[in-house]
Amino acid sequence: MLDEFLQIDLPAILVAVLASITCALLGSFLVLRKQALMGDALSHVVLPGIAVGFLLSGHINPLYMMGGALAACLVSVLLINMIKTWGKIEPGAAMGIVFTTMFALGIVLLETKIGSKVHLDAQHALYGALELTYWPEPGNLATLPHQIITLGALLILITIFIFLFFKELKITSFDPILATTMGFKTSHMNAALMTLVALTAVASFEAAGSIIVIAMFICPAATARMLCDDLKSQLYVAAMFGALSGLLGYILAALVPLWLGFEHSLSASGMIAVTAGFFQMIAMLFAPKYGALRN
Amino acid sequence: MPGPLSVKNLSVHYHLQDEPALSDVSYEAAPGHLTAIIGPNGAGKSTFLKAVMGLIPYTGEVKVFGQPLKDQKHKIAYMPQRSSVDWDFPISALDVAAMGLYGQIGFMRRVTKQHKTEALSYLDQVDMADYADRQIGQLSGGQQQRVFLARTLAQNADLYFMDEPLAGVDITTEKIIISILEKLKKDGKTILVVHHDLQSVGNFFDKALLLNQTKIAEGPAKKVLTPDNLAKAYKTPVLTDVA
Repeated sequence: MLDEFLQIDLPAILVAVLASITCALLGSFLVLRKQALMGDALSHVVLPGIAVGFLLSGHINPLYMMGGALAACLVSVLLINMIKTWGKIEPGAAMGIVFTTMFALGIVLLETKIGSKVHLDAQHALYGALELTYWPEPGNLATLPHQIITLGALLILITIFIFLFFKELKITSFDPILATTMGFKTSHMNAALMTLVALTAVASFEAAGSIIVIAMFICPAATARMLCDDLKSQLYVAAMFGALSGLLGYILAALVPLWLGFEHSLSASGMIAVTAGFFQMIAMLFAPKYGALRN
Repeated sequence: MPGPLSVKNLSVHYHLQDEPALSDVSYEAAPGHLTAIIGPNGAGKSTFLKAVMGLIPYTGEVKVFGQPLKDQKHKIAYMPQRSSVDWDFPISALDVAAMGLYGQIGFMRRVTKQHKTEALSYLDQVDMADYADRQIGQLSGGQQQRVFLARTLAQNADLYFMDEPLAGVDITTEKIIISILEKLKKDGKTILVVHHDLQSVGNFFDKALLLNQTKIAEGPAKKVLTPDNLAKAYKTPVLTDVA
């Protein structure tokens, strides 16, 4: 029983919690910069990049996948600018065209080129494979699932980034125009942030599917928004709700149904997203200062 | 010594628009004066400020104290329109005021306690020290405008650009803003203010720049505000011809 927990549940919980915290931290900036849908968009755009990275390396190699994903992001940015200028349409519409097309291309690549060789298909892309994370010899770090290492490294990188550039992130998020007049490179800051968002989208996506990425970029940050009056506490509270959603969502999906005597557990990614949405709803209604039903 | 702001043949043409927003404006700012930039809605007043600060593409030449702006960023301060930021942002009045010091603190350096004390002194100048810890969305419009002014003061510049600082503020705030503007002028600073209310231009400002796509007039406020000039700037809309 304990072995089973250590081999199957613990690594899955670690992946879920790490992915959720990472997304929640970056998501706070996305929400405050009114770019919340960028997380959604990038998690779609990266799919063909991941597929091509996989084709090139021949197996699931995080470095190839991330390289492919970043290349896909660059291609998308170029395409969006081209369509905006030549097609004479507004940026939102140009983004919509590119993101959906890229995602569709990714699905086609997965279905035709890869699906037969490895467990990486459209289903996997949406719901992830949280339940398949497996630690063969618990305690032996050499056999620790690579998703945990990738996400852990990314979380450390992002924490350092936020710590070093806290002031720059604050001013470019709150008042990019003032930041520019002061000589801060607003576009560089934005590019760095988007790169981290893309890397996080890939790492979380590979570990837990795009549903969790989309939910975690927005829900914990939006929940914290209802509760916090300064940027630091916004980040802590968002990270906390991310972690809580990851942990609770997994327990509700994987363990509770079995305790209740059901034969099948539920989709962990789906339940984590639902849990995050539930916290958001509660905060929206009952937050002490900003809740709709406060008094 | 070169003047604080020298603009030659400045033109701005926004993407996908037929008419230029500004065309061929040349202007020398009067050093140590309080200048109002006036003109009808859509005359290009904010565009003028944005172009001069390099925020939008333009043609022509802009020099700040005799040099290109990029080498003089520490000498300018900008107070944008209040509507340009999200007042629900999780940030306190003190944090906003401290942002004025970011340019001087520099890239990747941290905001220290000393900086916060300094920021507080600027909040005090606009009578907002008591609200230092308040989230900015919890302040009235006039109070928000004063926090913005404190941030602008913290930039400790020689040339100030302010976009509609007096728009829609209460009497107390108006008095505070005007007294700060006069104090800056007394300290020898050059201040350019986009202003919407023709009635009060003469009371608050000693110089004026009248724009409508191009420069209509400039000089002492009273001389700029002649019926002739105003008729030229505020010409009757074309639609009345059709009717």
